[in-house]
Amino acid sequence: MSRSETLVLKRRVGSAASASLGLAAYEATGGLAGLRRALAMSPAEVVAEIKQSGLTGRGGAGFPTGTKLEFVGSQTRCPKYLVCNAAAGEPGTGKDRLLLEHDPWAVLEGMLIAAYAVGAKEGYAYLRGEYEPVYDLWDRLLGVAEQAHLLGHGILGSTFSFRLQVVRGRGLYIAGEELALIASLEMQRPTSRPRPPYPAQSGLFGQPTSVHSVETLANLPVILADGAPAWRRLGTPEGPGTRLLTLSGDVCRPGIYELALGSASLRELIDDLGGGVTGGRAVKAVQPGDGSSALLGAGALDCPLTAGAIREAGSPLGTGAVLVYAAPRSALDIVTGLLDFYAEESCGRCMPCRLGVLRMRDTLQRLNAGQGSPEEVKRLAEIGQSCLGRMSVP
Amino acid sequence: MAAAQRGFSWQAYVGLAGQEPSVALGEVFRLLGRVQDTFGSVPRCVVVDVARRAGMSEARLYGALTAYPGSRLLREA
Repeated sequence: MSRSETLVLKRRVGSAASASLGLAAYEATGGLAGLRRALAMSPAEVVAEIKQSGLTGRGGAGFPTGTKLEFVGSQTRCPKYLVCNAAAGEPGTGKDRLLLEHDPWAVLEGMLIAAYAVGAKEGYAYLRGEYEPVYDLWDRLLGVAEQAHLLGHGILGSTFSFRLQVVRGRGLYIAGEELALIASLEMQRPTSRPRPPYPAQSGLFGQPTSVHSVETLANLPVILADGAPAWRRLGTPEGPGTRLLTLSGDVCRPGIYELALGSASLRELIDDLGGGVTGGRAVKAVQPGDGSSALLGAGALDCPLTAGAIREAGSPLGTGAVLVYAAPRSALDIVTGLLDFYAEESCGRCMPCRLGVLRMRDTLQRLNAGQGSPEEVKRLAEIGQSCLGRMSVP
Repeated sequence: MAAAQRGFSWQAYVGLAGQEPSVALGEVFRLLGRVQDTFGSVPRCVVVDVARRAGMSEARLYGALTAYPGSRLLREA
């Protein structure tokens, strides 16, 4: 095997610290060092450290996390809220569950660091409805954390207080989008809305809100414990750090692999870590981001795994859910299947998504059944073009 | 089938909701989730009660609840 994983976020997965909710085991493996260091600094210094690390959001949009924290931190209105988005339900993604289940303390520590940095005293962790065992685990975790003075008043003997609530979603894909998630917590009908105002200005209950994905938050303890320069050593200067890549589809060993950004190409991920394509077939197409990212042909396989290089190849790295499709699969089938999902899960608020996706799926179904015409193919391209960039959830 | 037959009891619901007479807005989603986890579904009487306590209309609450494929609502009781 020419490539192996770089274990940073996954370093506790499968270890004694992850098997139980042992806080002592977590501390023994370097846990809480980041939070302790953060609490000794001023919130602005913590934000500066995260900015210096160059960490970008791992949820899909890839926005710089430090800047996002700064927006909320600079708001003078109180209360402010911190929300952990653990509701991402993109087709093919599974990394959140791995972290929430196998390294929950690191996610909690990340939330505390982010809350301290922005000055939030209350926070919500919004779990996907399907994560029932994870929800039970987090319920117990909150109890243990309160006893250990990790939640509530005076965290670890400081003046910082934080209250966390764990909320379980109800199987709705759109709730993974930050504005729909906020609407869901407010008991509004969960739909997205146009931006601005951004959640940093007017989020949960109209207050400044910082929303981060699980993987982003899990990176914060590492950055604060080792310092930004040490964390930057992994990955590339433009995209530092590691990414959790959920490899699935026609591969021999699907799973969640952690790689330093830019350390391997898509081909190396599929062949070396994923054990190659099942049945030794040729790769036909790859979705490097998730179900919503563009299909890349076999020509893009040698593209290094960095957000920039993948974007240049024509697709976002998104949530890092790599879906592999091998030779006999029909591209029509793949796209129809995905559109089925998006048509079903559309929140119905904006026209291109509500109607455009439905029409594209219907047209593809007709093409699949051999009832298409050249005009229909042309129409399909037109609909696709007119939807592009006009949906409120891209 | 009445809600009571599905294991719902008003007392158990009040226990879940806490003794507070009002429901803070951020608590509504969580509370209804816990009601469903405990009783298997959300009976109508709970929706009526929660809407009143949270100061929102029943229609708005139903509008939000029915957006979730995982919502289980009971018409009776």
